Parts: sequence; structure tokens; C-alpha cells
Amino acid sequence: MIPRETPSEVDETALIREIRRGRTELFEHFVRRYQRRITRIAYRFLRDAGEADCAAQESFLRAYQNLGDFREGSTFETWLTRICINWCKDRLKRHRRVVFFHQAPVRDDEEGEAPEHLAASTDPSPERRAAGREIRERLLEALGSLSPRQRAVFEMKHFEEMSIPDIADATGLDTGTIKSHLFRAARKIRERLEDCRS
Amino acid sequence: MNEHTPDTERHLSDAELFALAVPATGDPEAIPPHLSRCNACSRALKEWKATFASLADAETGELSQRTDAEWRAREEATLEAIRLDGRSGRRVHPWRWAVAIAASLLVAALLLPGLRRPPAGRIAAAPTTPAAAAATPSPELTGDDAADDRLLREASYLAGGGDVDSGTGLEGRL
Repeated sequence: MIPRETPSEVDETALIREIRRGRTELFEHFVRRYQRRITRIAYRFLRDAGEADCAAQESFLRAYQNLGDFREGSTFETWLTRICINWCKDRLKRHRRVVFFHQAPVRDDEEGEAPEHLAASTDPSPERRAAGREIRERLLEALGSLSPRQRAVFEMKHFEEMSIPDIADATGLDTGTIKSHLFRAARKIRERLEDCRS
Repeated sequence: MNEHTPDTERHLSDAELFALAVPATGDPEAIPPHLSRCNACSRALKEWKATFASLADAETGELSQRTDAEWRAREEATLEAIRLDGRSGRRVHPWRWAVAIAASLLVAALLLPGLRRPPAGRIAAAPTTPAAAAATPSPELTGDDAADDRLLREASYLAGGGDVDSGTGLEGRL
């Protein structure tokens, strides 16, 4: 059994080979390592924690059942992300939720205190906290103006820190399209921020 | 707002600060010279970067508030689902396609003869020997058509289990 805190240097391709040979218990490594990340990605599409949990579990199950289809040129993480995104897309289609990234409800905590890191910063003045809050509100508002697809790509790049080739691989879009989405998203946010100021 | 820049110099707008804090494709933008001279803009840029970074968690809603124990519980649930899947035999084997194809062929092999066989009524009406088949040609047929008709009747007889060696001469014609 793989220890829970598995070092990141584990050769996952070799691990997959072992699982295919019958050491199925080794799959635990992937669940421990990627469940949080996959749940977060699913949440970015579904905007519901329960559904995101369901998406993550189903994605792992599908990955496990189809491990024979995994190609060694790719990474397990990208492959799993692709499975998860496809699951989310199917889910959204079934529920006919066309607008799935737009109009995220503003939570109570978004209107309260500034983020922790601002309060603990070297300059915790009320002005600075207020400035941080204002930036945050405007950013959220600007993010809300993006199309669902733009926002998904934007969040995968900037919040999940995925590389452009990985996003392309996971979404089935080409890298040029991903870059185009990113540029357009950034331009829209900038325009929105200019509008706010004026 | 600005302490160390000439009055004529314009401060960075929010849009410019955002572009510097969050480069569209991840490649850093060129740093404007003003930034190195203006403490206020430099501080504002840090503010934008920090606030944007905080949004990564904030945007995942309640997931960001989960404790390690709660995450572990969900990991366990996933592992249990996988174990159950393995026990229930749903685990996919590498030879699954071969098994599926073999099963399809078997079904086809069992069903096709039944489909080819004529309905029970027609079987009852069919002649039981090649001689009987040859003896009942339709009166309207021409010579060639009658030969074809005889051939078809003989083939039908053979397909029904008749003996090839019974002297019909069919095998020679085929």
C-alpha cells in the first residue's frame, strides 16, 4: 500500500503499468494525490460542491475502469482532467444548464472582511484593507462578465495553474483557441475594469 | 496617492495593473518605467496580485473551507467506490472487446440459420425429394425458366437436409 503522503517524484507511468498487471491497490496513490484538484476543477464547471464531489468520484472510477486506454505519452493528471471535464460537460448538457459559469451567486463572506493575507500583510491599515476589498469586488464582477467557456479556460490557467498545452489536452481544444480565449478574457476584464472606473 | 513621481506622469490604471498582475497567457508583460519610480503604483500592483491569488480559493466556494479530515473522507469514499466496482466485476479487462465480438458472432451464428429457413407452412408444402421437385414444374414456365426453377428446387431440397448423393446431378451443375 502506498503511503498517504506520496512523494511527487513517483513515476506514475510505472505505477499504472503495475496496476494493469493486477496491483490494483496502487490506484490509491492517484486518488490521494489528485482528488482535491479534480474536485476543484469540477467545481469551476458545476458551481456546486456536492456535484463536484460526484464528478471527481466518477472521474476516478472511469479512469480506473479504462486504465487500459491510458496512453503513456500523456500524464495521468491531464488524462484524468479530461475525463472530469467531459463528465461535467455531459452533466451540464443533461441538466440543460447553458449558462454554467455566469452569474455565480455572491456569497456572504465576499461582502465581509478582506482576505486573510491582506489582514496579515505588512500594512494592515484600514485603507489598504478597503482597497483590497474593492479590488476583489471589481475582479469578481469582471470575471462574471466572461462567457462560460472563457471563464473556464481563464480559471484553469490562472487559478488551477494549468499550462496551455494541458488545458488544450483536457478540453479537446487546440492551443491557439485556448490562447485566444485567454486573450479575449483578459481584454474583457480590462474593459470591465475601465468601465468601473469611469 | 503618488509620492515620488512628477505631477505630469500618469499613474497606472486598474486595467493596466490587472494586465501586469495577471498576464493573459502567463508570459509577463513589459514593465512600464513608471512602476519603478512610483511607490503607490508599485504597492497597488502588489495589492492586485495578492487579491487575485486569493480569488483562486474564494472561487471554489465551500471547497476552500474543507478540513483535511473532510477531504480524507471523500478520498475514502472514492476508494470504496472503486473497490466495490472491482468486486462487482465491473472492472474492465483488456480482452473485453474480444469477448464482446465473440459473443456477437455466436449470437449471429445461432440466429442466421433460423432467419434463412423458410416459414413452417412453406416447408410443409415443399417437395420432399428432388424427383418430386422436378416433377412439379409450373406450366407457364419456358424451357430455361423451368431449368432454373428445377435447380432452385433442388437447392432448396439440399438446404433442407436432402442427400447430395441421391443422383440429382446438382453437384455437377454447381
